[in-house]
Amino acid sequence: MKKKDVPQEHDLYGDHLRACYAQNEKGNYEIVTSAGWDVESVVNTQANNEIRGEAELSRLAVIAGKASPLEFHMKRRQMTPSMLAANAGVWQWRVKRHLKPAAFNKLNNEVLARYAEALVMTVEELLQVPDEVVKDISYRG
Amino acid sequence: MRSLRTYPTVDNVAIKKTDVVISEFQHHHAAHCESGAVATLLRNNGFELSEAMVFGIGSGLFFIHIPWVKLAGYPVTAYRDMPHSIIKNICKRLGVRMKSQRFRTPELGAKALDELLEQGIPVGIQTNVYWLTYFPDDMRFHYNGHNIVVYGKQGNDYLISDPVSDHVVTCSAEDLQRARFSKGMLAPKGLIYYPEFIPENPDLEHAIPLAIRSTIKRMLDIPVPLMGVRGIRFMANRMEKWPAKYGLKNAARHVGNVVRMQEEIGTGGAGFRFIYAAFLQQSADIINNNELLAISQELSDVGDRWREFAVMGAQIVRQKERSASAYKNLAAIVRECADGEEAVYKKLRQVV
Repeated sequence: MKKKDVPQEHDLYGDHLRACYAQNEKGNYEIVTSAGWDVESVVNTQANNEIRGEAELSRLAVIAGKASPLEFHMKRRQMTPSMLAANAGVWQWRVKRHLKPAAFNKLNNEVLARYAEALVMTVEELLQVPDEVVKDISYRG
Repeated sequence: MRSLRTYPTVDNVAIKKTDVVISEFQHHHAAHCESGAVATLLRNNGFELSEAMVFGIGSGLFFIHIPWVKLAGYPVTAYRDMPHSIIKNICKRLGVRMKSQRFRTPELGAKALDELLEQGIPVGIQTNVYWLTYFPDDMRFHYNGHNIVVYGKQGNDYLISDPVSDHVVTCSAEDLQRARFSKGMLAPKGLIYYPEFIPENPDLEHAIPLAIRSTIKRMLDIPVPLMGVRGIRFMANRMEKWPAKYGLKNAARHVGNVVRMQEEIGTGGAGFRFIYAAFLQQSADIINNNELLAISQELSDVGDRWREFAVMGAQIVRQKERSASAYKNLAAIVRECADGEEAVYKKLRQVV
């Protein structure tokens, strides 16, 4: 890649710039900063929209009484049952059961607290889902 | 390679007694987190080695595609070797001794990090990108193998040199703890590392050919069709079948995932092929072998072809291109890349 071809097409990385390796006029490689590439933006948007879409399906399923709020919050935090199991210290088969309302509704506070901690939210937040579409699938600190 | 910027570590911030800032620390911008963190640690300890050299001597270049092992729902596809292999190879080939430690509890991990900072030692750590709030939201996902360097603490914030960012950042103690002790695949367990010993004159002339030969071997000689050049061809074959196997929509997601692994996660472009070309170029001088220059150029050209693959992949994702024949064309480019790379490694074998 030539230095002049290093894409500067999006502010894809917020206030960060990406390092690309590209050749200068003499053909020597150097690190050239990039603000982002259209191609990356397309595949990144696809991936994130898919996660948002999955979370929204879960949110609607919770409202319809077909899934537990845990499923929504797990997806919103971009986790899988195995990841949630590892981080909450709960067996994976139990996590999978708790994605259904019947099993989730019987959970005691201790297990709820573990899930809440792994998902970085309060138990209160964990017990419900928002009324509107959630776009924010990242943890904000 | 030059450092792009040197940031003053303290700007108009009153230093409290509890604050620790390694003021002589220098940030270096890099393409890849592992080679970048190692280069940053070595350079801050007086060993001037570029990221490209670290990547090359660490034999970072690779290719692997395993359809039945899924990562976030997609087949594992990587353009580089396993996490930590660069650190391991650098230590072995250059005689660097890296002190590394993992921890049973987050408290022990935090204490050890703070003590090292107090001694003025910049520390490499392993983290989960998702909890690093200094990155934009859409750039964060659960990946436990991200390497960064910590060079101080101010109040409740750690001062961080993330190799893939052009400037230094900060991260709250709580977020960093979460990132360091995230569990699951590749769990960091609070891993910290820093060079304990760096030889006076590391033998680059010896290490470079050794490293190149190891990469050639891994790219050409592994008798499993999932890895190296064979792995690239294997992926091309699978790719052609994706529309029939997954349906057009899901097939496009699979293509998107490969393109992300190649471009989005910080590879310096073309799935590490450009950074390796830079390594070959820099090595030509050091081991006095001008043939490496022409081969570096050839690898650059293959890299350009990989970039064309990414452009075409993005068109499929955008659904501008929906026909199943698009996947044939896509696979054809990937095969060309495989042929190109095979030629590169075979030529390398002749000259090192």
